[in-house]
Amino acid sequence: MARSIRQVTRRGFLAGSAATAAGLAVVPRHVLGGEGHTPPSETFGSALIGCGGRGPGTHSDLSRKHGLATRCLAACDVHLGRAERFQHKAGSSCEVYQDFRRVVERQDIEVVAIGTPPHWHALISIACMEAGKDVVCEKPATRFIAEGRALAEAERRYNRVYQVGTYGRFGMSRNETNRQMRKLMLSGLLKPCKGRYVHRRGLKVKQWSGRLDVAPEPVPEELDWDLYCGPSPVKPYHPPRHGGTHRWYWDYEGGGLGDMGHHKFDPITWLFGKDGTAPVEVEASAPPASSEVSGMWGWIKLTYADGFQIVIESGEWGEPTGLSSVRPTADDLSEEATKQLAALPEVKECVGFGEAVKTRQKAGGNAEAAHRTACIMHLANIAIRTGRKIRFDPNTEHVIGDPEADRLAHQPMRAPFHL
Amino acid sequence: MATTDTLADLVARVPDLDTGGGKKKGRETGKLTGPPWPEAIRDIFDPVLAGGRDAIVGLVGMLTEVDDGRDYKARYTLHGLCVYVCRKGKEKERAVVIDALGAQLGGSCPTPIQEVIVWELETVGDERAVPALAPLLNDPTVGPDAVRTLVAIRDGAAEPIRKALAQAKGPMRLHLVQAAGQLGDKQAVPHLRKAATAADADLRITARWALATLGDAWAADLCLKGARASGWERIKAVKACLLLAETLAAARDKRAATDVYTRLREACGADRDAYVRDACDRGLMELG
Repeated sequence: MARSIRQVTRRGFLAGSAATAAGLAVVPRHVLGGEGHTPPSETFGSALIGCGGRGPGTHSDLSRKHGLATRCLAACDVHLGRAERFQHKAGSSCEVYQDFRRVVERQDIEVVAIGTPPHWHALISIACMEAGKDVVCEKPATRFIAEGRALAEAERRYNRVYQVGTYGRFGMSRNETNRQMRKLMLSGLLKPCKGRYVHRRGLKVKQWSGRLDVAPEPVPEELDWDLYCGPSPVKPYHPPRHGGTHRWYWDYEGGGLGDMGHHKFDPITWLFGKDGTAPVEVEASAPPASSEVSGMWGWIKLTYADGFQIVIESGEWGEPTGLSSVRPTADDLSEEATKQLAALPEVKECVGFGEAVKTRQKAGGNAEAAHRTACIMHLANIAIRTGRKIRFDPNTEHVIGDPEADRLAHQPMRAPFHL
Repeated sequence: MATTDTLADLVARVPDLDTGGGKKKGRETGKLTGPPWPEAIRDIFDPVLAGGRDAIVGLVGMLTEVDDGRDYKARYTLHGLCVYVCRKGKEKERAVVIDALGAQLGGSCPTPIQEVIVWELETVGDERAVPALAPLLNDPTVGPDAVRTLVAIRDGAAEPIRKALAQAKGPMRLHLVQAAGQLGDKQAVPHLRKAATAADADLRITARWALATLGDAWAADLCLKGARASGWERIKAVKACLLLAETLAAARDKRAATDVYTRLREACGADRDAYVRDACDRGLMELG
């Protein structure tokens, strides 16, 4: 089954989104954005928060990928050198900030690209939406489950456009066969669903598991370490905690699974109609985890309420499950159920971020969908970190019967940062 | 603990760190591939637990103040134990671990070691850990982590946090105000109201958020006043107003919720606030 799921390349997506953008009429924003918007500007004031790593690419994607004309007004990073480097590329209108709150306050910034480490993703995305801005945020959308619910609530409360920085679901949604699969799965007519999706390798487990032999060093002058730690506990400055190797640390992310997982499973949750719910049971094969850094694991089995399973094998530790993918099929439906399926509305293509901003629709990778995909990685990591089988309620979003495991789904934050 | 094995022998069974080499060259140096759970339980965790309280205290004694990796085997063992004893059927062992860890807090125990213990209590602690954590709540170094651990534990945490909040000055007050909000402690409302008018902006913002999540209609005037200000505080005051209205609506106090939405709508008349007015309108529509 895995072979039939078309993997979308970045280039392929760009071609598709450019065509979409070209087809859009330019409509004054006072018409599209509702009462009160000043007419008619087609150039959006933009900002980048988190200027290292993927950050600059995420910002340039606002125009390249999403077809928005932008004028970059702010570059923000807790490491001033990184913000200044981006400012040089962004031009004279761009001002440098170290504290994201000063960027969020600016009323001339309408669209924000977020490229910080994940422990800041939800908080900054939410703050931007609270200030009336639309958001593209790098993946993963969140660091733990409660953040995702707050993110989706903010999107709903303020009616802003949010898009997580992964785009596999867009290519997936352009394929008619895939849309029919989504329709079948969303119908709930497969009872029980015998489908299974097995994903093997590609999650950089060893590469992004953490080193334990690193000594603390003085904090670099350009780095506001306290603000970097933000909602997470303030720990001694170990150089790998800042930069791309932040992925090693539970305080900031969730290893290769937490990071690459959003790319791998976002198209899958769309295809199989699981981007409005979460698994109900999760089991992992892994050694005891470190308290500080992510480590090795072998496989994870995630089961949804209808019986559909996602199985993830690292290929880097332990024995494989021996399981293979089973594609759900409408052939299993009764005659009556087949009629019911045919009567349901057709599934539409995902709406790109640029189009969503201009027309005030929900983007394909909206906060709810991004949150539900992120739940896969978070629940998998909870099973890995506890060594216990996890039962989860997708409605209350709490772990059932295991309050200690639930603490990892609902982590406290360091003041003054809260959801 | 078997008589022939010292605690050090058991901890030494944690595998050595990877030394790199192979295709990935140095990229995998310093990483740990732990033993499978059944082996870890048989060879390390159960034998350490057999040593009782003394073994846990001994394990804490093997931690180094500087987290430079020298003590990674002791840290890994301690954390693995804390996770392991949260399994069903390990309640007695868990009580021993909580008691042993809690007893190390305060006193002459170095601050970095206390921090590690507090972090581990976030994993293994329950209400039995609360008395050991409570005295740390006015300590500006370990205090924020102790607050975090108490919020994670929840059971029995509200009272000591409330008591500490009544006495708190300086930076710890902010952490305690936030904790009271996160725990939904209605008895903390008098302290939160006081903090909501403090000179410190972070404290004001956090206290108003806490009152809003608790559905304290008294906070409406303060939040609405903030919504007429500017900058970050205004953004957060608007959020507090919307949260308060939602909480009041959920508590079926339609009149109070309507009042907050209506007044917030009036306070947000500028073009830039169209989205806030829309949010108020949606809230009012849901109220019927």
